[in-house]
Amino acid sequence: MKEKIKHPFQTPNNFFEDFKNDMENTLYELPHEKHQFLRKFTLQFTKYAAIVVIAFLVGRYSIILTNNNDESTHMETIFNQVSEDEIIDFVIEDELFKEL
Amino acid sequence: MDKTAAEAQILIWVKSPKTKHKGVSKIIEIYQESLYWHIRKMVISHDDAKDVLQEVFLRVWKNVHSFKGNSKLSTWLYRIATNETSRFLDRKNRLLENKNNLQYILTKELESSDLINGDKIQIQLQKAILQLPEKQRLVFNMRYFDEMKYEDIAAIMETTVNSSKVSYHHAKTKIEQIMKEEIIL
Repeated sequence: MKEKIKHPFQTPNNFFEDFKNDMENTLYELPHEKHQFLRKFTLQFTKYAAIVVIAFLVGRYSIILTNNNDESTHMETIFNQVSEDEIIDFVIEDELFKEL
Repeated sequence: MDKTAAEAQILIWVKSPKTKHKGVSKIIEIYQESLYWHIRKMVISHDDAKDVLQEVFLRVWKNVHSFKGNSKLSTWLYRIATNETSRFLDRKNRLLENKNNLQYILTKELESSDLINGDKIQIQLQKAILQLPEKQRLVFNMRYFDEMKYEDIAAIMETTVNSSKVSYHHAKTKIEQIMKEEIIL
């Protein structure tokens, strides 16, 4: 029977023992990576939530300011539509009415 | 405990997060040597084989809970090792301009590595194997060196038994031819 030719490859001493230990250590570190990922995710989430809340508050405040501005703008619009003489006439009439 | 019983026990361990480490440690203990040699015969360099083996076990760690048991655990592991090896060789090949250079680099590694120590005929056989296409190399190594059954080879390569037999036959014929030419020269 023909003798089989073996392969010529070798490994360093204790390679498999060392490899097993290294690999197990690597795998034991993996759950920590998962926790780190969760912590990072929570931090990012909080950051973006804070940005959204601030943006909401700023938006709300600017709406209030805009509403106030709108009221004065509305009065200005009315005053712009009538002449100064008409306003004076209106005031005099009003005073006369009050005297009566 | 025989291999089938050990596989069954491992599969119970890896399904639970509490015992997953124990299960994967057992996989490493039982299969690291056979998987290492399977990879080493393909990538030639010890350091490369070690890197690929690490990738294999990381992949096993990530996916073992979803292993459904449609094949033997050993077949599944060999399949992962084969895929990772192919991916590694593809990456190495992509970095080279001339596609024939991979065979040249692996042959040089064969001649120069400190962790390769064989007689002339052993080196000649390895050089002849390097001249085969990747699939034939894989099939030849599993059949000739590891004496695997064609059924197991077919399951690992995800092909038919007949296709594995044909691949081995072609590989063997080519290797004999190359080695005869070497002897004549």
